Amino acid sequence: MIRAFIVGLVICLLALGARAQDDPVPDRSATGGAQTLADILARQDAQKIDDRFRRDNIGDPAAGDTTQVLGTRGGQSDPDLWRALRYDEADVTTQSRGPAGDVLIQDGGMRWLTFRQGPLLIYGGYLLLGTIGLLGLFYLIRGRIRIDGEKTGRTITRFKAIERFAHWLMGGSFILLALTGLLSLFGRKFLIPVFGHDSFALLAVASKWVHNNVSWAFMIGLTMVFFMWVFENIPNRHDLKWVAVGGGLLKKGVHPPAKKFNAGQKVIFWSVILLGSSISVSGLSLLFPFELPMFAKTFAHLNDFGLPQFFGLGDLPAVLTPQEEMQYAQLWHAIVGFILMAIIIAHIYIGSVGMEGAFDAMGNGEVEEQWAREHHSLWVDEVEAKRAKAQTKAVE
Amino acid sequence: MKTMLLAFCAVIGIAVIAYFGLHAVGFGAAETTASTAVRLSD
Repeated sequence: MIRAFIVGLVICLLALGARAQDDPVPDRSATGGAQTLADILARQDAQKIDDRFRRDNIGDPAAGDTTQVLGTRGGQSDPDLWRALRYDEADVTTQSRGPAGDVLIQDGGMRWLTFRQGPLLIYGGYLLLGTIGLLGLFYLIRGRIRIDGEKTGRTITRFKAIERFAHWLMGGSFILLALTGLLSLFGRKFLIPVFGHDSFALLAVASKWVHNNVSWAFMIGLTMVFFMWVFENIPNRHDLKWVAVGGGLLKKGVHPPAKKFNAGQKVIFWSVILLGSSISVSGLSLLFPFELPMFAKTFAHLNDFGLPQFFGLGDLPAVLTPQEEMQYAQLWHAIVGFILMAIIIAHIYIGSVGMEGAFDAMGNGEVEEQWAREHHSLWVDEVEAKRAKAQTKAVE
Repeated sequence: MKTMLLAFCAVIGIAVIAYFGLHAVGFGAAETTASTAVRLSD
C-alpha cells in the first residue's frame, strides 16, 4: 500500500516537472516579437500571462547619439517609450510633488476596485449581518443574563472616571468611524440609488470629514486604554477555567472565578488593541497619502519568511507603486475594520441588553456587589482585602 | 453618564482641533502635493 502511494507520488512529481519544462514559449515571429492575438485574448480573459516580452522591451535611451540636431532619441523608439510608461519604467519628470506624481500608469487599480466592490462588500456585509443574527439567536435562546443571587443594594466602584472617559472616547469615536466607514464603502452601491448622486455627494463629503478627523480621538482613547488596563489583561490560569465553562454565559447559575477582567473581556481587550492599532497604522497611511508606505516591505518580509508560499500564494509583490500601496492600505483598513466591528457588536450586546448590571460598570462606574461577585469574584476579594487593610491602617 | 457625555464632547473637540491644526501646519492635501509653481491662495 505504502509502496503504491510512493510510486503514485513520484509519478505525480515527475508529471509536474515535465509540465513545467514543457511550458511552451508562444511563437511571436509573425508579429516580430510583439504581442499576438492570443496574448490579447488571454489578457482580455483576465488570464495571467508572462508579459516580460513587453515589460523588458523598453529600449535603451543611452544607446544612441542624441546630441546631433534632428538626431535620434537614442536607443529608444516611440513604442519602447510607451511600453516604458506602461510598466512604470520611464524616467518621468513632473511638476507635481510627491512620490505618486511620476507614476503615469499603474495597473493595480482595477484589481483593487473589483475586490472593493465585490468580495469586500459581500463578505464584510455578511460578517456584520451574521454577527447580529447570531446574537439575536443567542438572545432568543438564553435571554438576558440576569443576576442570579439576591441583590445587596451595595455597590463597588469598578471603573474610575478617567477609565470610563478613555473607554467612551474610544468607543464613541469607533462607532462614528464604523458608521462613516460603512457609508463610504456601501454608499455608492446602496445609497446613490436611493438618494441620488447629489445628496449622496454631500453625505460622502461629511462622512469623509468625520472619518478623517475623529480618527485622532480613537487613537488617543486606544493609547489611554492600553496603558490603563494592559497589566490586568495579561492572561492567567483562571482564564482557562473561565473558557472551559464558557464564562458561565451559556448556563444559568455557573460563575467561574475571575479577576478584574475575565477571559472574554481579555479577548475583547487584545482584539481592540491589536486590531485597533493595525487599523490606526493603515489609517495613518491613508490620512497622509504616499508618506507611510508599508505593504511592499511587509510583503518582502513575508516572502522571506515563506508564509505566502506555504499557503500556495507564491511570492507577494515586493515592489509596489505608491498608488498600489494606498490600495492595499485601504483594503487592509476595511478588512480589519470589519473584523473589529463584528467583535465590538458582540461587546456592545453583552455590555447592554445581554447582561443585567453590566452597563453600570461603564455608565456610572458603580456595579451591584452581587453582580461583581458572580462575574469577578476574585476581583471583589481583592477590593475587600484592600478596603480592610485601609481600615486597619486608619484604626492604628 | 456625565463622563460618557464628556468623552463624546471630547471626540468632537479633538476632531475640530485635528482639522484646523493639521491645515495650519501645512498637512492639507493641496499643500503636500502641489508643486511650488502652483498658487494655492489668492
